[in-house]
Amino acid sequence: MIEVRDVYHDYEGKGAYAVQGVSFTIPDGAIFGFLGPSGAGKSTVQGIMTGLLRLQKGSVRYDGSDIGSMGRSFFQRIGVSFEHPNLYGKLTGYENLKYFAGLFQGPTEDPMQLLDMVGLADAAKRRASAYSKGMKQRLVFARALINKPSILFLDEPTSGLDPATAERIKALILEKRDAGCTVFLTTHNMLDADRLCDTVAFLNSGRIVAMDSPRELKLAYGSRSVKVETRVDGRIETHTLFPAREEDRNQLSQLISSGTAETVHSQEATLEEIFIKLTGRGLG
Amino acid sequence: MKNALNQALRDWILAWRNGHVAVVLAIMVLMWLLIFFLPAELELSNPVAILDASHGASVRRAAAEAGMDGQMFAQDQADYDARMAADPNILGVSVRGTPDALSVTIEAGAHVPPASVAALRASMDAIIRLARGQTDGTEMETVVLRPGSRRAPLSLTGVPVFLVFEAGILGFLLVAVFVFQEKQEGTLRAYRAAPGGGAPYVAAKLAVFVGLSLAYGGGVLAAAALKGARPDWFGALGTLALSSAFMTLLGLGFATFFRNLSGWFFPGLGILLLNMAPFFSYARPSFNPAWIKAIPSYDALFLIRDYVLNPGTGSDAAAPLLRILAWTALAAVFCALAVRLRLLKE
Repeated sequence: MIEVRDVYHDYEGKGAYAVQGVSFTIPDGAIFGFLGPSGAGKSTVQGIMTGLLRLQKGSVRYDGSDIGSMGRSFFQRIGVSFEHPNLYGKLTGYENLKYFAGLFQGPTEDPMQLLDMVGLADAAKRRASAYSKGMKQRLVFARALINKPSILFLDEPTSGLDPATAERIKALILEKRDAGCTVFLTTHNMLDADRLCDTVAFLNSGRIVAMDSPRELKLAYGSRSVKVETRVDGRIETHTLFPAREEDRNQLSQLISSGTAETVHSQEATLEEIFIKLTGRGLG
Repeated sequence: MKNALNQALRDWILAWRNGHVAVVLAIMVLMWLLIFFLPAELELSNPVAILDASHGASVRRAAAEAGMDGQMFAQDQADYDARMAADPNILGVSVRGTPDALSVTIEAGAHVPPASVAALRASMDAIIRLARGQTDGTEMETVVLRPGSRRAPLSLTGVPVFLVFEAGILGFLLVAVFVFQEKQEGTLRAYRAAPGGGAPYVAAKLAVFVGLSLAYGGGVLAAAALKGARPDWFGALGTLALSSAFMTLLGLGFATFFRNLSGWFFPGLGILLLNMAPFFSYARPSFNPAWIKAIPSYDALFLIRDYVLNPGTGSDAAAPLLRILAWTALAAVFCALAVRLRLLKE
């Protein structure tokens, strides 16, 4: 279990906090989504949680142990995928993975198998500098898995990927979760978060403004209505109906049975709409 | 150990693919050319032309008796004038009159050093006294210090310089290039999120650059041996390894204070130039102020000179070796702190 309590971080030491009072808990084997626009403080929190940034105030505990007391053994347990691909351009994809595997003690994944999993087996012997952005992103993702981590930190893992490859990566993330891996996912892609996360936290200006499962958030902030479009005498008419009310339920049945209903949409709010509702700003 | 070896392997591959190995090989070939094709001696003093128009050529005879090179003497006025016109750096001496009343004229261009003119005046004064049969009975003796050592030809005299300063540049500059490349690629950030640690990181770089220096040094020493030197290989390469380790550790620690090579360039160049200052003492041994002697490359340069040019002549290597070791230990502490507290914290 990961427990983050009341974390603050001030880069310049002048009282301008990049994150303030951030607290959350991630149970083992869960995917926790950290959502927010650029500059919201997502990477700062991830930096603190991975030990790349010094913890200034608050606490970060892994299975009850404070991050400050864990030493280098902590890095044996985690895998980190960065938003901006940071690879040795002069090494091949295979060499990049092989080299990082050599930094860990204990068993590691087979680099070729990992490359195959992310669809880079054919490019294994090409230098990373010759990879496209999407290929680099996949290689960084594969590198994060090289030490069979029990905790994965993924920063925009599907950024720059084509839809098919993004699906492949998302399926791998879910596989890891199902195998017991805890995943901390930083993203501003609400669809990914909705699909993957057990819990999401909205971060805005360094503070968490909402945190729950995607379903609960949508229920809490959505309007629970149904939009029906009908065509009568060639004209399109829109009806917004609330299933909680009996007369609306009856009208919905009537529209569907009469065959005039052309489209029916639930009016469930998207995570993006909820974010805008809560913060007054978009995620772009 | 496995971790450090893994990183050293990575750094060797990067050194190869970055072209660093090729650069080292190219410099080594250049040094071979210098060793094989530099002349044994360079004429550093001004040439002299002497016209002896004195009665009975008494000066020429006295000069021959004193062991002077007869080539300096012009055959006649025309020959003398031709020599003077041909070389602007030449010093001319014309002697006329009888042995009892000689008239000597020295001709020198404005840019000829006054010391050269003064030395020539003193030499002529001694020869004229000899021509007049005036000897004061002073006996002059030359004592050869360290008689086991021998005068090395110019091509071999340069070998210690080629070894010490090139190895210094290799370690100091190329390790900085490595660090800036890793910063630029962001791989240091990825490294920090892995259990690599500072010591294996430093050890790997050290292994690569000391290894490259030794390969380079071995090649240069082999060329020197082919040219007639009988170097103490172990002493020369051992000192070179220490010197290279010092510069690599210093360079790695120093590079952590800069973001990129352009920020590093002038301060780095300053340190490299300072490191090369002992060259002036090497070229002009009378110039060896205390501040130059304090530069670590000074000890390395003169130690390697003895190991390459005068092996087994009994010079005391212990004190300079200890000083280089102490400098290297200091550089290791500086580097370890800089890597741990700066490079792996960024």
